[in-house]
Amino acid sequence: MKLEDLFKERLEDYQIKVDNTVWEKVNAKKSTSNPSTVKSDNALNKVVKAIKTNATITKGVIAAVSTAALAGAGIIAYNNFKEHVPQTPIIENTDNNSPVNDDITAVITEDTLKTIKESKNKEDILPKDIFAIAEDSVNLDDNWKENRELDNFVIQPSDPVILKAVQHSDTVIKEPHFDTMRTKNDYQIKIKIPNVMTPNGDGINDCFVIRNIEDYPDNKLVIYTGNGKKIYSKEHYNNEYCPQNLQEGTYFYTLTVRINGFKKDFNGVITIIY
Amino acid sequence: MVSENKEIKHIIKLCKKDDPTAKKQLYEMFAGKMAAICYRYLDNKEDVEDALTDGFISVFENIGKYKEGNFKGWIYRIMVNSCLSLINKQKRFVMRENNTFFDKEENVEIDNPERFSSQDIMNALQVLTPREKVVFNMAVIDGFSHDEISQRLNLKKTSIKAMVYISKVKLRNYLINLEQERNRK
Repeated sequence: MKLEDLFKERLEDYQIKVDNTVWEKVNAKKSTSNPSTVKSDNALNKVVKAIKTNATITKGVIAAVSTAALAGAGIIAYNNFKEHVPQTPIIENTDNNSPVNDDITAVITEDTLKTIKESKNKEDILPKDIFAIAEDSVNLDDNWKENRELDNFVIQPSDPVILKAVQHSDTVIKEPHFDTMRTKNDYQIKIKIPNVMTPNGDGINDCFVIRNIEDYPDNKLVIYTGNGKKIYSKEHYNNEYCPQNLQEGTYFYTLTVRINGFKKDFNGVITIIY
Repeated sequence: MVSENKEIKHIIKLCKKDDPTAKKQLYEMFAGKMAAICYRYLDNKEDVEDALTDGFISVFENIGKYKEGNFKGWIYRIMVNSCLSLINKQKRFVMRENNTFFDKEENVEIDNPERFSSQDIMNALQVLTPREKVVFNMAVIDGFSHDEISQRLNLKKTSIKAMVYISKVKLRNYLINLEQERNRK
């Protein structure tokens, strides 16, 4: 029986008992997701959520926004954010004792600043107001995709708002039980292919010796001249190629190694010198 | 089967009118199965309950949009989406390309399938890494096309193929070990 059929068949009508609390939650329509995080990939939402869920950060934000308002002229400089990384984050968490996961840096544009300046009591401005403005004007999805590999998230210079979510190195998405490494190592091919041969019969570097190739018997080696003419081809290569009367120059090889149904190609250059 | 379909249709009709008893009935009909789906994608009870809650809320919110067709498939889809968005939100792992190339469709056979219960199969899934689990579930069990998975998870199709194959090998090895252990006892 095919594995997939077995899995499909056994799981089709499989049921797991559910706690009554789930129904209560469904009935009460208490969604576990924050309404502002519907677009889960949106970095801005992530920042907003981080701020909303952390009271200490909220305080930090308000304080920092006031500072930003005072330093209004300096803000525009950050529009070329990538070239001019600010030395000190404008918004930072000031309370070191709090268990904070995210530092948040935000740069606010003139429009937003105007709003902040016009309001009499700066403490009245909640971060969500600021970010609500930001949300209207920017769609971060594309940038987020582009930068998702980075720890920092940066909006393009032309955008009206620049936000930077910096995560502490230990909380960066390091996926604790995400063991690609094991999978990779299972199929990692540890061979070492030389790039030089001196087939002059002195017993040193006379043969094309690929280290550890004996561990991967299911392989195929082809060697070409610089013009692309095939001069050697061997399946299950085991370091037998010791050429004679070969001209000095550059040759190419392609080595295909198969292991457990996976295939990996190695291509490269061999230089022959005497 | 026919009567069951009729019953579901009737319940759906009532649900569209926001009838509380019908909602409860619908929930009870599907909660167990849906929980099983969530357990396949997620690995702890809290996440499963969150995904389940969100899923059912979205089912009831969108039931007006359901016209006809396979209701089971529709509700399955919503649940899987709910799980995926939870995974996405938590960013517990990043979908990365798997750079191993895999060039053949290979069948993985299981010799005596009758020896494995549904519970064994569920346990077997736990040997996979979280992202292998997601890909395997989508590709093999829930029948998403490779195109769609590649779009949803932002992965290359070659990676998906390789991951499905790795998963199958891991699962087979698990099942073989399980059988051997049982034989020893």
